This record gives sequence, structure tokens and C-alpha cells, in this order.
Amino acid sequence: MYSAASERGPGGENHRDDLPSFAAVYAEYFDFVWSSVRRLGVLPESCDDVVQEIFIVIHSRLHTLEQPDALRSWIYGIVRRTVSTHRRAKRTRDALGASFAAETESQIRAQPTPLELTEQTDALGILMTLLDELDAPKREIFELVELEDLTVPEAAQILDVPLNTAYSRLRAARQAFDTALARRLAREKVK
Amino acid sequence: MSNLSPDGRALVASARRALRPTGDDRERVSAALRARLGAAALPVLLAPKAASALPMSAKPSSFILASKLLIGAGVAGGIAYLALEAGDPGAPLRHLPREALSAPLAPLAAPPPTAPSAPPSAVVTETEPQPEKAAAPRPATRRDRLAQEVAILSRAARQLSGGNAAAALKALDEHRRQFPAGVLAEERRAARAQALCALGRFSEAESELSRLSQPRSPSAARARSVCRNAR
Repeated sequence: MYSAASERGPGGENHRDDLPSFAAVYAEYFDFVWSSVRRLGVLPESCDDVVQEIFIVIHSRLHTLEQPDALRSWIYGIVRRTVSTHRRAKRTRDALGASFAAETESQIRAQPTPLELTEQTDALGILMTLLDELDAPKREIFELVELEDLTVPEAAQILDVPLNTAYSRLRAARQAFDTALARRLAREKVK
Repeated sequence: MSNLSPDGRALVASARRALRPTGDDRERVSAALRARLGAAALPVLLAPKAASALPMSAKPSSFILASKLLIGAGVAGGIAYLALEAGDPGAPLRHLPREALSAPLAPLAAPPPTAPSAPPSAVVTETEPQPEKAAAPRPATRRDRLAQEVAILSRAARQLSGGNAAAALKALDEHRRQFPAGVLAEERRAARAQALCALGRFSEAESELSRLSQPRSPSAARARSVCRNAR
């Protein structure tokens, strides 16, 4: 969510009294950034690099932040854009790799990492399976508020929807989520 | 404000914990960032000790609920089992965005220049000479540079898959000139080896393969496979 005006300063040295230092932002938001990156689907082995990249951008642009009280949604905007760039790069890598050697490809696909296997059986896996049942707008606001700890006004700002819409969408998303969960639990009891 | 059911809250709290970084994660990224930005930007004391200030911590009550849900009733395990059984074994996992899963499971990407696995105390640049990093690329332009890298290598990929190895090699050489230690340098080397083998230039391909920093990576394996088939 940084504006064109934010393109000017590459250094990040222009301190402003109304803004926290980069180190403070890093300390405060590292977990937020990391978990957002994971939730947005960056594979574990790429997480370090994507998170680094995000903080590099934050470092360079922090002084351009126009509304200090919108820091978290500003950071989340950077997270989204960086993850999107990362995906483009990954698709390119995959395209390069997939050009050849179909048999190698199938061998690689056959080996899920231990982490993937673990995740498939843990709460995160269950949660994501349930979220699959929500439509995209509901899922997005649910994730922002419930998983990323954003306030509803922050989420509304990020999603560019009126605050009332955000509230009603979140309420509907929570209901849909609870319904999906209850259905799963009921199905398990029957078995 | 309507809230989630207790089960829903417990599941969410538990999933949030699964998404959180470990202390090691924090240490690694802190060390790498310090190497890139300088210790002044990220003093050692501030970086790794922030956990208590973070907004992500789960409430103890959620923790208990989560444990109940996940362990007590065995229900979650059942759901997980369902999730495992629901798709065919080769299908992508269902709990992350499709985009993340459409790719092969193993890491195709070699770790980019910052070598995140380096021990926190090590200066990252010691692990591999990185002219680009030493020059501290301007952060604001790194994204653009990556986009350029992607564009060049995408072109090479199209040319490789179209059977035009000579044109692909030109694109890859262009990438090498512009981004000698770019984020996608490892992919470039593997792709170059493939292109060279396709052109019958095996010794050059070998030399390229020997320069891979991750010789056992899937992209390296692919390159070798292509070269074997081409001989």
C-alpha cells in the first residue's frame, strides 16, 4: 500500500520522529510477516528469502509511510506484493525445470517433504481444508482478522471495502467456518 | 461482534501457532538481514528478542481448547486422516493456496544469495562470493531486478521448451551478464547446462554443472538427466 511518492528514497536513513525505527518495526512485526508469508503459500524453504526481501523493502520505505497508524496494513501490502513477485519467479523456475526430463519430474513429485506430511496432519492443514469451503472474499477477511490479527478496519482498508461490508462479511465468514467445522466434527462422530 | 465457536477458536489458535516462526527462523533471518543492511539498522539485541511484544501469541485458554480438540477427542486426527485420504496421493496438498502447490514438491529453487542456512554468527557473504550482495543493491530496485531476471529466464524457458537451445543460451548469457549473482543464478546455471547439452557442448555443460552450489537440487538433477539423454 505504498504510494508512488514512496519510490524516492532508497536509503531508509531518513528518520522521522513520528515513526518507529526499523529495528523496532522488525522486532514487532517479524512474526506477523513470517506467518503471513507462510499462510500465503510460500513454501517453507523459501520463507527466509521472502521474509528478508519484505524487510528490505520496509527498511527502504519506512520513512515514506504517510499514516503511521496504518503501519500494519502498510506492511501487509508489502507482504502481498513481495509474495506475488516471489510466485512469479517460482513459476519461471518451474517452467525452466519442467522443460525437460519428465521422468525426473515425476520422481521429484513423488517425494513430499517431511514438513508437508506433518502439516497435512496438523491443525493448520485442517484449518486450510475448512477454509477451502469458504468463497474467496469470506476467506480473505477471515484469514486477515483471525489468522493475521488485523483489526476489521485494517482489513477493510486492505481489501478496499466499506467498513460495514467488512463487518458483515466477517460475520458471514465466521458462521460459514463454524458450520464447516461442525459438519466435519459430526461426520467424524458418525464414523 | 460475533465470535467463533470454542472449537473454531481452538483450531484457529492452533493453526496460528503452526504458522509462527521458531527462534531459529528468527535468528537466521536476523543474521542475514544484518549482513545486508548493516548492524546499525538491526542491532543484535533488538532483533531476536521480540516474542513477548508480538501480537500473535495465543491465549492460554485457546491453547487448552486446541489441545482438547487436537488430542483429547482424536477428532482432528480423524479429520487429518480424511484430508489425507480425500485426494489421490499424487494430488497437491489441499491446505495451501493452489499456486503454491502447483509446483513440484521438492525445492526447485536453490537458496538465493543470502544462504539462509548459514549459522547466525557467520557473516553470510562468507559462504559464497556474491558480488551483487557485496555491492548492497538498492533495496527499492531489487524487486524490479527480480522482475527483469524473471523476464529473461522465462524467455529462455520458452526457447528451451520450444527446442531452440541456441536462442535460450543467448538469453541465459544475457542473464549472466546482467545478473551474475542474481536471485535466479542457480536456475540459470542449470538451464545453461541443459542448453549446452542440447547443443552437444558437453564439456562446457559439465563445467556449468560443477559450479552449482546445490549439486543435488532437483534442477541440477534435471540438467544431468537431460545431458545423459543427449549424449
